[in-house]
Amino acid sequence: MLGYIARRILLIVPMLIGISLITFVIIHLAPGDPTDIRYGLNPEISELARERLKEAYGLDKPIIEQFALWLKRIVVLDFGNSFIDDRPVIAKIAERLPATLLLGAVSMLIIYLISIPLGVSSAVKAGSPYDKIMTVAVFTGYATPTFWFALLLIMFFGVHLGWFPISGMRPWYAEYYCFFDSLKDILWRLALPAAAMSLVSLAGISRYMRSSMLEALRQDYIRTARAKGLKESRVIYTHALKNALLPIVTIASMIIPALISGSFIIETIFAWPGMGRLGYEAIMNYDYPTVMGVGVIATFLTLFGLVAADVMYAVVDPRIRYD
Amino acid sequence: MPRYILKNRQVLFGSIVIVFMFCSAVFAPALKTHDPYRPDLSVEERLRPPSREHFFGTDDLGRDVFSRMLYGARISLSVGFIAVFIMLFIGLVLGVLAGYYGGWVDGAIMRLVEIMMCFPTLFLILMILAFLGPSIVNVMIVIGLTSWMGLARIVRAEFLSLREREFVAAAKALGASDMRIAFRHILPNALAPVFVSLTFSLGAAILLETSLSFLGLGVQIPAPSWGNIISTGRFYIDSAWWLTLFPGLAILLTVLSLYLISDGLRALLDPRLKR
Repeated sequence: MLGYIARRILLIVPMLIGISLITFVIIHLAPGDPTDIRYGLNPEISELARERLKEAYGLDKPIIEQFALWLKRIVVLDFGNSFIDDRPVIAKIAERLPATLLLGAVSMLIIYLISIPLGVSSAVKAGSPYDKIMTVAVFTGYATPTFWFALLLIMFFGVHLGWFPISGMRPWYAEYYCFFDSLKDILWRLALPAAAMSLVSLAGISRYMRSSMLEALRQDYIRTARAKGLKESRVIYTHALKNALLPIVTIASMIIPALISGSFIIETIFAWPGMGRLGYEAIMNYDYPTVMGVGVIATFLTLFGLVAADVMYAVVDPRIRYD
Repeated sequence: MPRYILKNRQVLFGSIVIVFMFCSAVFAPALKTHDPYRPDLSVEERLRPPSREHFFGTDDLGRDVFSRMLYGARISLSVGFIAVFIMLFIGLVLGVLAGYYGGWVDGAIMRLVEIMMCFPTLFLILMILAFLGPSIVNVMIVIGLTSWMGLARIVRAEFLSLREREFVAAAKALGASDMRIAFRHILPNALAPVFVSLTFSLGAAILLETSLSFLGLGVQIPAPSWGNIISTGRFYIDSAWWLTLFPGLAILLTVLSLYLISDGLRALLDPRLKR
């Protein structure tokens, strides 16, 4: 198993090179060279900015050398300075990252806490009216545009009822709070964004949990457990659930990319000071170094999340013997 | 098949909604009650709530939201269809190559799939659009380019099992070319799961387009799209709820219907789920 884990971690290297290659291609997507992008139409890109972009990406050099240069910059996480305030991109990302991770972690917790009982109860009552209603509810959740759901939450809980704040993470007066109040305030401000963020994955994961539980209930050891006269609740919650929960670990691999994609929309709508909003603002302001930095870091985070889920699965499930 | 559609309420509901949306897109010029493009800035026409005159109210420029949504359906549906078509082309070609030839071709293509899956789709699309510039055509191309991975995996898996079958050996013995075996003999047998996946992807593509338009990088104003109507609604969230509610419901219904159809067809085509 240690061998498997080592190999899985080593596989990150070619993946990183692949990611760098694709981002490199994106920079060069624009016709001409990247500094020409909408230059004529866009007064916001000054001659100086063009020069700096050229310099940053070494655009006067041959293409292979440019790629090597880009690789080198990615390895040391040097994405140059932002066009907006001339600060290093990586510093800007670093100060925004905690907010994104906090939002992601809380959303993930909500997703697991709600979707597991939902999926299990659906599976136990498979085919019943309850299961059918849940199925429709799950598809509805899956088909709901995240941004629209977020706006509805704001409209109802924020504007109409006035229960939750609709934007921001820390108001200026939060400085004067003691630790406990500060925590309470942040959680209160987290409520709506985290709810909006959870919805889509909630649907998918509860669906997954349902089929995993159904699969477990079909196994021979369940028949054995029933045959030896165990109580039904014990059969379901001890024998079946334990086994059905194993694959749920790898499910993080479905949630993490969704959370990171979602952060771009949710953070923008709720003015949450995270990396997603930084990326979106960078795009709207043609701040290319920041765009590339956020893109690469978001992708790295996804990759590491996926690998971590794979490794966890190998640790948790003794049946898995990768040669 | 037609009898199945009538019997399965899920597929029936989905099909009715999709046909309805499709018709309103096609007949938008006949159904519209007002000119969706002409602004009317007079005070009595701006941000009017739903009424008999304006079914879904008017927006900040006094345009009729109902008529704009009809034209938005045209854009959303056509972006969805073309994006899925591009996706189908890439996913099919790469999936067939990987599944039919196996070996290093398969290895290389599957690594590419894994790498592409690491990119948070939405930001990858935003990033590419930032460099290419937002336009309807770019949105179609970029959605297609970033969402073919699932389909490629499905086609590959089908090919891996089908290529071991006797009819393939028979075709080979008759001297058929690789291309002919792959596309004339194996592919028709792999179409069912592809079709299921396509209905699902169409829903996902429409959802993506509306998100992009909402963020201002998709369909550009003054062209109407469900996403950019909601984007306007965001600024009047405390007063003009109709700008947000109705287009959102249209998106939800359309995407939900496609997902329900896809799920119903999957149940029909998957023998393991039959009772």
